[in-house]
Amino acid sequence: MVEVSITPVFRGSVSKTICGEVVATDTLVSPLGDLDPEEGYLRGVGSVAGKIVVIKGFTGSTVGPYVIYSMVKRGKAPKALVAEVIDASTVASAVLADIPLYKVDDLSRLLDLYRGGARVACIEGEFLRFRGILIAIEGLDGAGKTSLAKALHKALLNCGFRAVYTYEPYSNAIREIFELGSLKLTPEVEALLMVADRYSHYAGVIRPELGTGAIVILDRYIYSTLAYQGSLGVDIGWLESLHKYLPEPDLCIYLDVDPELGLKRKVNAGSYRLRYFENVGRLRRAREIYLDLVSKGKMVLVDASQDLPTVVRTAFEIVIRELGVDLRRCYPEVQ
Amino acid sequence: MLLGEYGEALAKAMKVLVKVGESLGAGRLIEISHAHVSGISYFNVGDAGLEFVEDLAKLGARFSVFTTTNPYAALVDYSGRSPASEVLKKQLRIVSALRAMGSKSFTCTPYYVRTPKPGEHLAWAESSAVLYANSVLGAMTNREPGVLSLLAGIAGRTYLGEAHKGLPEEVRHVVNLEKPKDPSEAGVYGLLAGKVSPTGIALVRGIADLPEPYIKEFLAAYAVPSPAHVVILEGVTPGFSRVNIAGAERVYIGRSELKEFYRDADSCENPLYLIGCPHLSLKELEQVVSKVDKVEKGELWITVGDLISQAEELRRGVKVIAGGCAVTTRLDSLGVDCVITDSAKALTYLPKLAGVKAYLMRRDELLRKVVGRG
Repeated sequence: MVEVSITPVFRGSVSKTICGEVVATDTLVSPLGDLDPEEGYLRGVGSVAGKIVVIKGFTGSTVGPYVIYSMVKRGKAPKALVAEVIDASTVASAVLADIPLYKVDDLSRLLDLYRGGARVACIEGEFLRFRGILIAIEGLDGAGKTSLAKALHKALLNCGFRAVYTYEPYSNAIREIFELGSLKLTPEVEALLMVADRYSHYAGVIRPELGTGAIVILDRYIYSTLAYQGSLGVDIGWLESLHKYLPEPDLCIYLDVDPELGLKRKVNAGSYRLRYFENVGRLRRAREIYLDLVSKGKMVLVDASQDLPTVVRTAFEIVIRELGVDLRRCYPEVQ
Repeated sequence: MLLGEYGEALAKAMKVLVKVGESLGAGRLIEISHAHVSGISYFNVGDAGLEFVEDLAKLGARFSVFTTTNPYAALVDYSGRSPASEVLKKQLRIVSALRAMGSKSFTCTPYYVRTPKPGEHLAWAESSAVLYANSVLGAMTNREPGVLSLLAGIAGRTYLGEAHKGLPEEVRHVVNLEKPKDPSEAGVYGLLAGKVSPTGIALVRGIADLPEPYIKEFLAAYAVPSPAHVVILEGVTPGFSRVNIAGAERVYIGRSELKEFYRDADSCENPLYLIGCPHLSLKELEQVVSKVDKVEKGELWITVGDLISQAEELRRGVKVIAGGCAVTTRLDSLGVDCVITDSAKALTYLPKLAGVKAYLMRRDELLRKVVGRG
């Protein structure tokens, strides 16, 4: 298990479990020079606003509590503080600002995990437990899913996160069944094959990667089956029930595009493979199901008729906002 | 406002003190008679500190016990150069907020303003004053961080730390000092003695017969390397004779170790001479000033508490800065290049906090230089 023991010094008034991005440094932080309360920045680390901040400790006890107070007033404070060295002034800072404070004994192990790319954690009982994040990218063919997924993967790696890109269908056998058309598939059989593939994908790739604290980027996931098989008239409630034992994504970005524009992009790129999905009328129905899922809050819509850099920037801003995963330090175009 | 209404601010102050106490293994609060607050210089606390004290003052927070505060930045003109007015304005706002809350004085020697009795519980920040209170006066105070002393002044309480339980029963180190010949030498002994017991409490011999300014300089410098709240001074600290020194390691500090601290002052061509770290008493001020008929070279600053009046009128080019602290002032921003001081504490902190080179000189020699006879 990817976890480190911590001891609560001050729990604060938060009632729900604290989860968020972790930023960590093995140095002592001098608040007057190292912390910028206006921007919520820690020198050498980047933004600390809304994050679980791990430091060795504070030096120069005089001003620390005031700087932390100032950060809270500006909405730029950390979500929680974890430190190896905790003095009276640090406790005072935490209580004044109502920021939970924890003591970590094995800071070097925590930093090893962090440097290995584990970046998102929850504070559960007396543990800082790193966990993976599931980001799914959905949309019709030609919406730009793969381009976005790969750009996101690259940006996360550049930022030092442990990140994995993967896609569905997962197994070649399933792919072949669909592509060769050698079996006569009813929509229900299609759905069952897709879902079986997804369970294999989960067991073989997704779950193990999440267990290491990685951010897993999925190029298609549960909602693809709902949209595509649903567009063939399969009962959506039944499709949902087939996914009962799979986790929903932490964030699903839906790239919305008109089916004809999407198909045009695919043909132009010469990369169209699943010819079977060509029916525009069917794609329109799939789009309606996607849009319905957006209206239910299952996915966040990005207008994918825009140029790719705009789509990527918009999607990255959603990742930052929804997950607190900070891409700004390595993708400066994002605000 | 983050701190809520005033009643909430008071409750918050209590909560902070309780939580800090708990985290240090002292759950209970005790009533105090005098708080002394550090972290007053704008250069130390910046906009964040200014904001915090102004927020408190605006809420109507008031000190509920006798409270003094550390000196502010010594933002006086130096050689015709004025400090950035923005900084000066902000420093004055900090002072106003603390006055509004009820600060009785701005000084690093609050024991000259109100001398605590033995056994009194205090909540003092400012390490030199903490050691003076515990080691000379036999009062009891934690070595409070600035913010806790501020909150303690409002709450009239602090957490029951070790300092409030009296002297330790035994010490692990006994330090014997050769006799220093001036306050500055006592300060150097303080820097050296403070390193002897990095985590514990030491007993020091050779202090008892020294004049008070020597002891003050010794303690101020002792607190630079040492995190201790008290050092037991044989013949001075009330109750010193009950402390068991059997089995303690003995350390001797003598005059041969002083030399390396007094050198290179000649390389300071246009010096600012500084006396008054910690602040001088009125008696000391009179003694020092009586030796200066005119300032021949550089400038002479003497820092004292703000309640020492007519300070500004003092003559012959001596700048008596009442309520100010040169060490917590960015002297480089005032055009100062180097400082010659008699304070071992200032020697250590001036380069870090004031941005200037610093040299140590014995007090009499320094005064002779000032008047052109050195």
